[in-house]
Amino acid sequence: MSYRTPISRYAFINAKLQARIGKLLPQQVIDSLIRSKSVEQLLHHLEHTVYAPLDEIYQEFGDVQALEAFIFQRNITIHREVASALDPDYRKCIIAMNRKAEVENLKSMIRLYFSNTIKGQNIDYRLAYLYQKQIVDEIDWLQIANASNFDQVKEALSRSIYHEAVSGFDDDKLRENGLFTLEITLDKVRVKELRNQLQRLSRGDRKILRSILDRDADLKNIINIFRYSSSYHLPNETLETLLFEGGTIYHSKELRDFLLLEEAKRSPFVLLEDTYPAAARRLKEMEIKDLPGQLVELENYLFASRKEEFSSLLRRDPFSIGIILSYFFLEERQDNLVKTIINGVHYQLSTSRIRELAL
Amino acid sequence: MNVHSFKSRVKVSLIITVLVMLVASAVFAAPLAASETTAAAEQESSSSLIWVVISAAAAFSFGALAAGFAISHVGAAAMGAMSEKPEIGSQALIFIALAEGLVVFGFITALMILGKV
Repeated sequence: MSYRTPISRYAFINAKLQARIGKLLPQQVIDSLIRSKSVEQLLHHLEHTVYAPLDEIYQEFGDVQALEAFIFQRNITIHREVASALDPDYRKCIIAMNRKAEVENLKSMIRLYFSNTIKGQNIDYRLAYLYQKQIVDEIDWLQIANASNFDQVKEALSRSIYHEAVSGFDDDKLRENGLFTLEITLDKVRVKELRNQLQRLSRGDRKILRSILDRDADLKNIINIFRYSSSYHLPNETLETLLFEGGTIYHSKELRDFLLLEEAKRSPFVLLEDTYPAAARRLKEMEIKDLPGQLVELENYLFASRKEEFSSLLRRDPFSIGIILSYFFLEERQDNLVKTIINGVHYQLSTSRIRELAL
Repeated sequence: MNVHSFKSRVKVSLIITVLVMLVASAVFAAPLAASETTAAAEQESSSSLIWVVISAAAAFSFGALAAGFAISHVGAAAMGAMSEKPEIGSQALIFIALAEGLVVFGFITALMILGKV
């Protein structure tokens, strides 16, 4: 446990992050980006922002994937900067948050391995755009992408926290089931590590972070339950292994009742009536009959409530981890927005379509 | 430096500060007290003067300590914000000045106490 008071811990970093939040792209810049006729014009609008280096990168490589690689790298740097301004226990927690980028990179590398070895596709072009330096653990990224079998992938992960989790997988399993179980397993390792690290935080910070993780777990569990039961028709045993610990859904009676139902009778209302009554009410009001439509609406609702939760953190205690979490959320959201708009402009989508995808 | 040694250093420095304040007030109060004429009045005046001086010293030093504590946090926050937005520097100075005001209050209180002598 750290001996510093919340004021001394957060005075510098939270003021810095609040100032950065104040410098996030305003709506009129986003509108200008969406209306851009070319990537060059779009990058010109970003000239005096944190995305200014994108222009130089685009001039050098002429490729939108290089721009995405820069944005990914920037996200890792942001986490490191915040971690360096905090005391050791908090630093470890922020480093654990940086594992989100590490797991995303690991998934991309394993997808390359899968394309290369299982599907026999050329991966050289895609590999060049992936991050190949250390993020948190020591991982041999090239060995993963160029592995000839999954044992080599396991070996590349031998000095990381993911080694134990991937040891249950092999080439036959991946060929048969695809990558999604492995990908969810990696995400679960990441979240578990973050939950371990949060034990060292102060009581108030622990409560804030745990509530965010619980909300995330619910969001992922609801989406996974419907996606994998209705689209992939997975049996209950497999479905339960894909669930994230924590949140209100994971241990709920509603989930057990839901899993006992036949597939045709599984409706979001059964699961959400008591756990998320507002979401269930909203679905009823919208009178969407088909399951895919209900799921889209449900996802929108859950993402909106997550956004609202982060916004409320900004209005609460200024000397808490809430400001840091909100900052990471807003930066990630802005990064995704910029990436979506760049791709939309690059592929010459209409302004209305880009706006629909981005906002 | 580990947490335990840091805490013990803080405690030791606080004890030393209080002792220095007490000794200093006694030392500086003594010459003033010596100027009194009669022995009885001298003794009475001396003991009350010690307390007056201690009160004045306490008013000033607690004000100074509080201002230092406040400025350390306000200053850190100001530096954090200014590192991202240098244009808010003048606004940040206002908040530092507000914290600085604590020592001025302490100083005025000390003067008012000494004025009663």
